[in-house]
Parts: sequence; C-alpha cells; structure tokens
Amino acid sequence: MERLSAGFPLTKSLGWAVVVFLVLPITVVVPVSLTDQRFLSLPREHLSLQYYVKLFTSEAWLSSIGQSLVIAVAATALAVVAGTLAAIGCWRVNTRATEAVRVLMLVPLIVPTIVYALGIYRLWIALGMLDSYTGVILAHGVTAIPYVVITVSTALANFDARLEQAARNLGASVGQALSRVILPNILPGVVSGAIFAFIHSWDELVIVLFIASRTIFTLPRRIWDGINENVDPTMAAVAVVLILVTLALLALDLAFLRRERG
Amino acid sequence: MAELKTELTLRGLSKHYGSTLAVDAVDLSIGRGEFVTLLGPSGSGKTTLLMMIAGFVEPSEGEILLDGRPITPLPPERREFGMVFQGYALFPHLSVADNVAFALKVRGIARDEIERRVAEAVALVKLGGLERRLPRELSGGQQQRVALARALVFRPHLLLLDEPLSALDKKLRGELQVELKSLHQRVGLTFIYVTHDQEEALSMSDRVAILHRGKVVQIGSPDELYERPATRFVADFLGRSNFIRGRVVEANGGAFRYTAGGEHFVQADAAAPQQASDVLIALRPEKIQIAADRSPETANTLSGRIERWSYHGTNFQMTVATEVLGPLQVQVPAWRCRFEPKDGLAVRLGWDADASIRVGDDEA
Amino acid sequence: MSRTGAVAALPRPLHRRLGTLGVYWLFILPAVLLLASFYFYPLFGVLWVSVAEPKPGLGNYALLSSAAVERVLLTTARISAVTTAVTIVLGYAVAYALVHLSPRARRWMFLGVLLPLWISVLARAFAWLTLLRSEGVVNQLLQALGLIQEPLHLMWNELGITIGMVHYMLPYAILPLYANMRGIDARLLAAARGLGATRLQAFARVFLPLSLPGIVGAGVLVFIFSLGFFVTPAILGGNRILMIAQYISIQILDLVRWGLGAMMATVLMAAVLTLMALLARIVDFRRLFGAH
Repeated sequence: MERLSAGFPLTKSLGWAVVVFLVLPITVVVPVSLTDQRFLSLPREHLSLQYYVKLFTSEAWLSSIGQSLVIAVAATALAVVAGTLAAIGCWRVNTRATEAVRVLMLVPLIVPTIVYALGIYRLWIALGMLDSYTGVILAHGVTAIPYVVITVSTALANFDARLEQAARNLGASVGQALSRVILPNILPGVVSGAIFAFIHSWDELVIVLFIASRTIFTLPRRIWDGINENVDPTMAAVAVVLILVTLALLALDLAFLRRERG
Repeated sequence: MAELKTELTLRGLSKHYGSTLAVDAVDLSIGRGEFVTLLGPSGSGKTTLLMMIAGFVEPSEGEILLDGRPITPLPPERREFGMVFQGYALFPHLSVADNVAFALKVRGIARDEIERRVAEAVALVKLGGLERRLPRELSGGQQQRVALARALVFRPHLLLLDEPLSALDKKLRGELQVELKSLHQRVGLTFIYVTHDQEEALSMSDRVAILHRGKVVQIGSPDELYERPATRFVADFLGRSNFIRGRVVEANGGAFRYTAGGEHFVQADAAAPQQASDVLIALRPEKIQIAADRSPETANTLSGRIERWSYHGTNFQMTVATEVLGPLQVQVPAWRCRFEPKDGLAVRLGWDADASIRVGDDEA
Repeated sequence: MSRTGAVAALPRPLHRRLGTLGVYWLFILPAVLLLASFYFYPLFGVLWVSVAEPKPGLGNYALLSSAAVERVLLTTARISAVTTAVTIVLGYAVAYALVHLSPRARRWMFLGVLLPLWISVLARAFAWLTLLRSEGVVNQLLQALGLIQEPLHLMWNELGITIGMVHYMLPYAILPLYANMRGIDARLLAAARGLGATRLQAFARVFLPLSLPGIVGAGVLVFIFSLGFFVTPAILGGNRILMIAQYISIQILDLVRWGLGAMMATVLMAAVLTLMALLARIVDFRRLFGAH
C-alpha cells in the first residue's frame, strides 16, 4: 500500500523545486539591502548597513511607517469588532438569510480591488474625505471584514452552541455570555482575524493610490513611488523590514494558536 | 415551602417550525419537589419541550406558569432554572471552581460568599480536590458532577436535565442513576428529566410523561404506566407487548368477552366497552403462563408450538406460533420453566382476565 | 434573588419585540451597515458612472470595440491564461508532492507555500525587479559566468509579468488543489495497480480524473485573481504592457476619463463575478478550501 501510493519520485523533486522558486527570490532582498554599492546590486567588497541607517533616519520613511501603523491598527480594530460580532450573529441566528449575509460579506475578497478603489475614490470626493485618516481607515477596515468573518466563523464552527445556552441558563445576559464564554473560546480565531486584517491594511496599495495623496502617504505608497522614480537599495532595506514584520506577526499567531490548544 | 403544591404549569404549549408540529398543545402540572421525566423516542418533542421551559425556544402558542405566574416572555437568564445539558456544556476555558462559580459571578455576588457556596456545591457532588482542574482533565462521570454542581449552586427554582447520562457507559450510568436519585432527595428540588431510556425513566422518576409525536400520551407513576398503559404506543415503548385485535361480544360489570381469530377470550375492565366494538388488548410476554403437559389454570388458554427460543440467564424468551392469534412473545423465568424448550415443541399458553389490558390504538 | 422578584420583573420591551434571537441580529448590523455604505454603495456608483458619464447611455460600452481597449482586453486575457496554465501545472506538482510526503516533510513544504502568501506583494514584486532588471542579479550572474554577453530582457515584457504573477498566484492554486487531492482515497490507486494498471495508467485513469474538480476550481480562482491584478504587472511591465487594472487607473488618475474607466471596471467586475458564479455551480466551495 505504502509503496503503491508513494507517487512518482520525480514529482517530489519538482514540488520542492517549485517551493524553492516560491521562497528563494524573496530572500534576494536581504543581500541587496546589505550592499556596499550605490545602486541595486549584490554586495561587492563588504556588507554594509548604510541603507538601514538611511531608512531609519529618513523623516519621510519614518512618517510613512508611522502613518501605516496608525491606519492599520485603527482599521484592524474596526474590522475585528464588526467582523467578530457579525460572525457570531450569523452563527447564532443561522438561517438562510444569515447564510446569504455571510456570502455577501466575502464579496470584497473576490471583486478586484481596482474596481472598489474607483468607487470609494468617487464617494470620498463627494464627501470630502479624500486624503484623510478617516477615509483610509474606513476603506481598509471595511475591506478587512471578510478576513475576520472567515477566521471567526471557523473558530465558531468548533464551538459548542450549548455553552452559550448554558451561560444564559446560569443567569448571564447576552453581553455577559459574549464576554465570559463565547469570546474566550473563539479568541484564537479573533486574533488570527486581527493579524490578517492588520497585514491587509499594512500592505494595501491600490486603494491608497486613489484616495490618499499628500497628507496621507503610507509605507506601500512610498515604496511604490520609490520603485517608479528612483530605485535605490534603501528600497531593499524597506522590503526586508516589511518581510520581517509579516514573519513576526505570523509567528505570533502560530504561538498563540499553539498555546491555546495547550 | 410546602404550601404551594403545583410549581410549574404548562398550558396548551405548542411549537411549530413551519408546518411541522414539534410540540402539540401540551398540558402538564409539576408539583414542588417532584422528579418528573419526559420520556419519548428521538423526535418526540421532549427536548423542544425542555428548551421551551428553559427559555431557549419560544412557544408558538400556550403559556408557562411558575407558581401561577406567567414566565413565557422571560429570557433564559431571568428564569432561575438550573440545567444540566446533554454533553454537559462545561466551559472549557474555566476550571471546575470557575465553572461552578459562573452563575454567582454574573450575579455580582461578593467574593467570599462565592467561595463559600462553591465549596458547598463541590462537596455536595463529592468533587473535593478537583477544583483547579479543567473540564478536559476530568472523566465523564466527574464532568457530569461538575455540571450538577454548576446548575445547583445558585439555588434555582428547579433543575432541568437533558439526557445527562447518555454520554456515559452502561455501568457508570447505573451508578449515577442511584446518585442522582439520592441527590434529588437531599436537595428537595423539583427535577425535570429528559431521556429516551425507559429503564432510566422507570427507575428514577416519581412520575413519567410519555411523549409521542409532540403530544403527552400518558403521564403517571412508573408502575402505573407499565401495568396500565393507555395506548398501544405506551405499551410498546415501555417494555414489550403482544397485541390482540378483537371484537366485543358480551360486556357486563367489570369484564367483557371478545373474539379474536375465531375464539373467545375474557378481559377484565372497569369501564366495559360497547357491544360489537373493536378492541385492542396488550399482553406482556411475562404475563403469559406456559406449560408443556397440561393447560394452565387461567381464564384464557391457547395452544401453540415453540417457533424460536433463546436463553437469557434469568429467563427464557420464546416465540410461540398459535393458530388463533399468530406468533406470541412469551417470557418465563428460567427457574419456573418446568420443561426443556425445544423448537417445534407443542405447548399450552394461558393468562388471566386481569393479566392483559385494553389499550387505545394510536399507531394507525 | 427571591422567587417572586425574578418572576415579577418583566423583561425590557426590546427582548419581547426582537424575540430570543433578535439580539443577535443586532450583532450583524454594524458589519452590514459598514459594508452597505462603504463597500456596496460605492461599487454600484461605479456601475452608475459607466452608463451616466460623460453622457447618459451605453456610449462608454461602444468603446469596447476601439483598438486600444481591445488590445488591453486581449493582453489581459492572454497573460491571465498563460499565468493560469503555468500556475496550475506547477501547483499540481506541489500539491501532489504534499499529499505523498511524510508529515514532517509536508510541514516544511507547507511553510514554503504559505509564507509567500503573507509577504507584501510590493516586497515580492520589488524582489523580482532586483532579479530581472537588465542590470539585475540574474543578468549580472549570467554575465559573470560568461554565459551571455548582452543582458537578457527579462522584464518590461509579458515574460516578466508572467513570472511575477505565477509566483504570486501559486499558493492560491496549491491550497485548493491539495484540499481536493487529500480527499482522494489512496486505496483506489492501489486497487488500480492490483487490477494490472501501471503507475502511469493508475495516475492517468484514476488520480487525474478525481483531481479534476480541484484543477477546475484552482484554475478559475487563479484566472479571476489574474484578471484584476494591478501591482505586479505594473511594476514588472512598466508602462509598456498594460493589463486592465493598470489601464483603468491611468484612465482615472492621469486622464480623468471617468466614463471609460468605470466602464472597464464594470466589465472586469462582471467577468469576475460571472466566472465565480459558474465556479460555484461546478464546485462546492467549502470542499474547495478544505473547510469541514
């Protein structure tokens, strides 16, 4: 049996080759960011941290990082509250109508961002919300709701509905049942959703290209300008920082999930 | 405490989902301190009924009264009914002590009072020493006790139990039945118990309500139900029974004669049925006497042949083929069986006029 | 907690009007309101603009037959199709390997598949830029090794875009393919071999047909994502090769031609939603993503 189902040896090598193709190119930014040259290339004589120094002393880059952080945190909060409540509501009511609501809430994952960017650009023009924190936070928060709905719904699928009934029967109000029983038990799903929502906002470019210009200049927006105007190794340092932040967040999520499973 | 006799009253309680009737106009009165079991097969509406009492399901029609006051619109958290859920529904993120303390904490009771009452409840169900454990670190029986302590700690009006023993193995189930019964006597609280297990219902309850297709078909003490089932369903669901379809030929005070398969039989009955009406008689396998060499000295006798038989330690179970009534199930205590059962053996059967009972035909 | 107290205190009217579950409808409300006003409403605004500006009517849609628009649509369809084909072939190999690996090795391969999924698409496109430029790492290496004299043109053409897009799409193909393959009973292959089929025959006649739903699902998904893709094509294609998303952004941000841009966006959205609806009829989504 084992031998019969083992598959072809060649496909395993091919599989690993594809995975190398997936991972290796990304790592090229690490040596490039440490280059001693003045242009985008591998280091020649020695490694140098000059571009990291440049990055972390540049007011423009630091301000973009700060703005991106503020926006991502606020958008995450918005998406987590709305998405978690909605997922719980749909799970508890559980009728054909809530099933439809759940599907509709996933639409932002399917519709190309460029289409939405056009729409929200026009709406913000009309409401005078272009280039404002509120405008970007709302757009990012709303498009992050699906991530939270998915992770929280997955957590709820494994949550025994009787626990909520038990809490109510023991005298807990809807709010008490939510905070004392439901939330503690689906926390890993909420945390995962929060991390995904954060990464979504932190990396988002297309919407920002349309609805932000001067006051709001997020990190992805500055990278975009850098790539299109003057490519220098500072960009590689930025890319490394971005990758490290993502890895740290995913490690956090993993550690959290593991701890919760005990 | 004892001045009010009836505690919980269900009045015309119904629940329909679309066009399906889950519970159909149930009337029920439950006295203070009673142990009442709602017994029925799956889909009979017993769990829906319990969920309506607990407040999780809104009745389509009817009323629920506690001490004569309507509580139908009260949300579950305001009813003060303790409940033991199927599978226990212990909070997996809380320790035993915190599970038990839950109801007191959401009521904002002072910390030392909580500690005192949790200790009391934990002692009541003999769980001392396990307070710091998480539910997943407990055995099934221990989890069941935590669920009990959690449901009793806030001194509820009454205790609802939804198949609380169904997750346990047979031996443990027997032990916990005894414990539950003694707990009921110690706390003096009204217990409403839902199960599909007849043995459990008969051995623990003061009264059993049998549910079938959303209706209460009969309510009474366990021996009442077993000895005097009102309908074919009850006779069949509680234990086993043979059924004889007959027609009344003659009725007088306290008994009537009927024909079935061309022969006459006698049936004791306080309320004699009308002449020439169709009747259904339930006859339990253990109420039939059987002999190989002579006729039993009973009001009704019949001859037949053993078609199949099996030995069950304390008794023999036989299927006896009769020309008059077709196959009949017979059960004889092994020590009272005077002959060696054999396939094809000719036997005589007999039963007294009050060994069988007339039942309503609700299976049509 | 006296008995009469609990019974006499009737619930707040809200409970009565909303019923047992009513409160939970209130939970759904914020998300629904947010999405309705800040997602779906502006999205319908795009549809509206496409038939209302610069003048009411279907004038914008008549532009679909113009040479420039036609070229953009063709380019988009061609690049998306090639990307999808390459992604599915490579993704199939990875999913197949995943199914047949030991659990330990599988965890590592999974890590390799999932990590890129969460790394900034900009960072990834930038990495490809440093690799593929004419004075980029690949050309430098090949020249240093003496394999080529002149630098190869690896980007600012469809090749570069396709490489970057395949790299981006692979995880999205691998996950549904793997979810589907995991559901194929290994005993079926053993049975086929027992009946005299060679390894290749067992694969072609048993495994491949059973993995077809995964291929269709992953293929449609990758194609849909490719159609509306913006960042990677824009960076690796420069302004020379225009796919629809970049074309739309130029119409709006540089040329302020709202009618044309909104029309193209509507066409894009219609194409994506139609494909998704078709996919939903063929494949069960929950199974596609391995839920439950």
